[in-house]
Amino acid sequence: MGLLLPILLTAGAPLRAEAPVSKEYQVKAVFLFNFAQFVQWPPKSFTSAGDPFYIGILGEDPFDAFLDETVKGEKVDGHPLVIRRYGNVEEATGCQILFISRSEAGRMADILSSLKGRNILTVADSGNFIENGGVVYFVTEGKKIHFKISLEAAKQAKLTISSQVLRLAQIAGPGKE
Amino acid sequence: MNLKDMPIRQKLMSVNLLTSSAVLLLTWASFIAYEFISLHRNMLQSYMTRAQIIAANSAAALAFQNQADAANVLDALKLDKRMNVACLYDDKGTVFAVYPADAPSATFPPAPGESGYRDGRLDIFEPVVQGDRKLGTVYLQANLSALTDRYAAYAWLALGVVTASFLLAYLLSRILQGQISRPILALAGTAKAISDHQDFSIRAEKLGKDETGSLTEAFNRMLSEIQDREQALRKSEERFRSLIENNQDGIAVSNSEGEALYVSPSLTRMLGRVESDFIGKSRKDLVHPDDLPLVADKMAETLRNPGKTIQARYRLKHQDGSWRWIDMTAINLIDNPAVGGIVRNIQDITEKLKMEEIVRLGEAQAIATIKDYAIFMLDPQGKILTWNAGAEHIKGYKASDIIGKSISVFYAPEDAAQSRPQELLQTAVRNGRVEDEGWRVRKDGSRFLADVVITALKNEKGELRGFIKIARDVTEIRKAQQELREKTQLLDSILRNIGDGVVVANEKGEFILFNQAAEKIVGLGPMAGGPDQWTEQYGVFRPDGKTPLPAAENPLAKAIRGESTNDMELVLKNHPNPNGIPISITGRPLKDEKGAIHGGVTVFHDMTERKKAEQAILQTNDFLNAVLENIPNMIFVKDAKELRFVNFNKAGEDLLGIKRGDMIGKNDYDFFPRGQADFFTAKDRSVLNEGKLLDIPEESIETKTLGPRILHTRKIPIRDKDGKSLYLLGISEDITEQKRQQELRTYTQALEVSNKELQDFVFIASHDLQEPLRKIQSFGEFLKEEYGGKLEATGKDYLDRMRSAATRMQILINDLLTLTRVTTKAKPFVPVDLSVVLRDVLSDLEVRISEKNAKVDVGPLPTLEADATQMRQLFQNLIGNALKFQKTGVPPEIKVEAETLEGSRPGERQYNLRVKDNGIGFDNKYADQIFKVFERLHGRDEYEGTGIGLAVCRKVVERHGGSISAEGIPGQGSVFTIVLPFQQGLKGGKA
Repeated sequence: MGLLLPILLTAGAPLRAEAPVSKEYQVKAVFLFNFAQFVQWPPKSFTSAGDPFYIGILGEDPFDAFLDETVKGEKVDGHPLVIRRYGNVEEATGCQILFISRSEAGRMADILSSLKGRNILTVADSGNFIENGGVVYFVTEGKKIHFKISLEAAKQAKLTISSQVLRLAQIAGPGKE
Repeated sequence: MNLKDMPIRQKLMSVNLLTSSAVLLLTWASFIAYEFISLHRNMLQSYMTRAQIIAANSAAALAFQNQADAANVLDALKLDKRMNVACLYDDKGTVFAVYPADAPSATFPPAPGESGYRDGRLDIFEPVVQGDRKLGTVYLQANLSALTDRYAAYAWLALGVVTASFLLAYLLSRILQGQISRPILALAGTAKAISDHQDFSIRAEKLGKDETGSLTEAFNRMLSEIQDREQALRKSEERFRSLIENNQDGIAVSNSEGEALYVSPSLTRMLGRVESDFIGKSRKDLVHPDDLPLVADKMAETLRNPGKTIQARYRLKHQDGSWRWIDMTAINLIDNPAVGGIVRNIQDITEKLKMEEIVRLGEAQAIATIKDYAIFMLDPQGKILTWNAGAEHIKGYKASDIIGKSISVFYAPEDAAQSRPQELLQTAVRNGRVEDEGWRVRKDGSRFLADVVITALKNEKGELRGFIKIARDVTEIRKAQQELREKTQLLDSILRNIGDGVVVANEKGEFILFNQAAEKIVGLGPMAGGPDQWTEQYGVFRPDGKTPLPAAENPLAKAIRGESTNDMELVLKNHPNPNGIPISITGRPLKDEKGAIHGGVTVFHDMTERKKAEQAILQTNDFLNAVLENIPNMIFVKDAKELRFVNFNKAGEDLLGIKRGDMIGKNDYDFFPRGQADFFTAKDRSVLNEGKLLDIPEESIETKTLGPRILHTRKIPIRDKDGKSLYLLGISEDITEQKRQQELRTYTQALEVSNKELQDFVFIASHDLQEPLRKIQSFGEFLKEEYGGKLEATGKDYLDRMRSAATRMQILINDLLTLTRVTTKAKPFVPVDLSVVLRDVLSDLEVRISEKNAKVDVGPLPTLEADATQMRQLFQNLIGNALKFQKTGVPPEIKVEAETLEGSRPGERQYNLRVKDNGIGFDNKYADQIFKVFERLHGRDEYEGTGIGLAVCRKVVERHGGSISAEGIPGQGSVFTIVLPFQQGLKGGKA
């Protein structure tokens, strides 16, 4: 039932006052960073202990520099966080988290099918994402941003998502809204 | 009350209760302190843990800014009543979620701080961390009501336990303090009782072995000592009183005026008076008037000399009016506080004085009448004052002749001239008395030897009043003594110089004489001790040198008792003669003229040399006797005159079965048949007459126990130096066995030769017979093959019969060969397992067994030393027989079994092997016959065979040192029993 509780976005201090990015994407950037903390990737995702942890953005970047600011100097299990921006999906196969921009909403099925079998936490806020095998889907209801998670997709990508996060999310499967 | 003055009981109780209370309080104080610390620490720990759990659970909520979820996590705290409030701060320290939901924000610290107890509550701050990122802080605030409740419970429990412990300590102290206080109180009670009643017989009861017990014991010991001392004092007083009261002497105590303070019952008894006659009375009423001045003098002297004994003799008046002489001894003990007066000891001497007077008168009379001694008195100058009968008798003067004369008249003129009489008197004055022996002169001028004692007589003051002279005529005595001395010296000289030991003892057993020879032989001189000690002192033994001679049998002791001993042999074995000396001793009693025994004498001499000689002879004899007795040949000696046996040895006893005692003194006619005795006697006589040795190589003799024997006898005459025959010596050797062996040997040799010849014959004959036989068979065969068709029926019949006879003969010859081979082709004995042998035999007979439908049952069989081939032959024959002699129509049933017969030694073990069948059997009268060669019980037509099989069996078994026998029941079956030894022994089988 906790999963159905609405997530209240604090109205408190903006992350960056001068940032041209909308508040919505500021929150989503922080959430992306948080997922890096609460999700476990299979060990084979990294070849060595010092490998960077890539957060990729496919298509148009809605975060501008905000995401770079958020992860600057941060590490996940010793891996330094690095942001990558990709024009097409073939380039994006090496990242751990991939945010698929609204600009790619029409090609969602193709993109996701080409990422099938990769250990990538796919995140999107548009298109038929979950139905096509996406993992985390941001839903905005008024001012609140919450997310749906497809356990099946996560399982296929061999990702382990913290139960604390699952407690906050709506669980969805493909073909299910 | 001061603790020092408290009764012991209370003192002990107070000490115990104070101690236990102090211990309890201290214990509880430390317990509560410990609880306080540990409760606080535990509570802090437990809330820290809780805060950590909440922090871990709220990490995502903080990260994803989900206040509702955070509130939800905090809401779990509502189960704990001690929780006041709680909240979550975000990473900037702003309150993010609260519990309870309606908690006013003022309740929370504005920013996270330090955990700890403050203001009666517990604050916990716990950071929320994800990875290495701090997301916020958890704050918990708990009230301390739980602790307060615990402290209240502890306080009540402490109060209860302390009270209960105190009560228990009180009860235990009450009971246990008795252990200490009771003995002390009992001791105190006893001491009080003793001092109250002055009764030292009371004893304190001892209640344990601790110090109090020791104290009680010491106290009791002290009481015993006091009691003993008191009793001793009382006894000594009683003894003292009883001494005084029972004393014959009277005791009186008086003051310095002479007035009696105490008189003893013995004193009142002495004078027939009562106590009141003395107490307070003047001495004038009791003391003889004539003695009063003396008594007054003595009294004064006593008073002058305290502690000194003063003696006096005076008279006291008896109740009956008579006067009693008393000897009084007084001592002044006025200064002695225990007495405080003059003590007088009074002894009644009236009777004693009367006796003394009688004695004085008697003595004077006696002296006057004594005849053997001259007793007379002299005045200080040596003039004779008195003269007795003895003096008159010895010296020849009458009293009237001599009184008033000087003693010089008794001395020879030469002695008198030298003032000998005066010298003697002066010596007597000087020494009190003088003794002298010397020649004196009688009135008639003759001289005599006098033994004289002169005693000087002095009064109390030491002034010479005269002499008393006692003289005796010792002339005869001295003469006799001189003679005796000479005789004794002579006797001594004789005894010293003779070689025999001489010892004389008086009737008391004291040695009077022990001459030199005696000391030399015995090795010891005379010793005190008496007859009972002699055996031990001198080592007197019987001739065996081992049995001590009983004291009563000692020759000297017997002599003293009046018994004589003649040439008794004894051995003296003592320290100087450790090997023992044999002696011959003779003893005689010593008797005086009247026959009274007054001692005994023994004379003895050393027999060592004689004994040695005797010993040598005895040893030679023993040696010869030993030879004679142990020689295995019969030896006898007959006297030459009547030919009676005089000696006969052990071997002779054994041979003839007649004891030596029965033999000696008799002759041959007493033991042997007349003819035999005649024969022996004739030989004896011829030997004695010719004086030459006779050798009889063989003579027969009939003995009692051994039957007829053959002897080889030598007879030898024994002659004196003149050549006259004295004895006949016979030596006989029993050669019966020798002869028998010899005969047996001859017989065996003959038998062996004949056996060998027989074997050779059979062997050669069999071989030689076989040759023509084979021809008969071969040509018979040719005849049948080539001309069989041309022969008529009768011819064919003849030919068949001939061939069949030839075949039978072939078998016969083979069987005979087999029989001889049992001995000629024998193999050495080796261990053979009969089971294996039987298996082979049965396999050989397999065809016949199955043809006959026979059943063969073989039990467990032993392994033994044997010739395997022959064993096989044996069983082949026996089982073959059993198959052969089957009952018509009945399948043979054969049984082979073994039985062990244990001997006393392993080499004696044997086996019983049995072969049983259910065949036609046989009559037991043929049981021996069947083992003989060619013996058949049945016709050839009935059962085939040559009749040699069982003979072979017997031969095989005998070669193995065993035996074979058979038993049969006609129509039912037969049993063959073979006995075989386990081992063949060293001699092995006969080849």
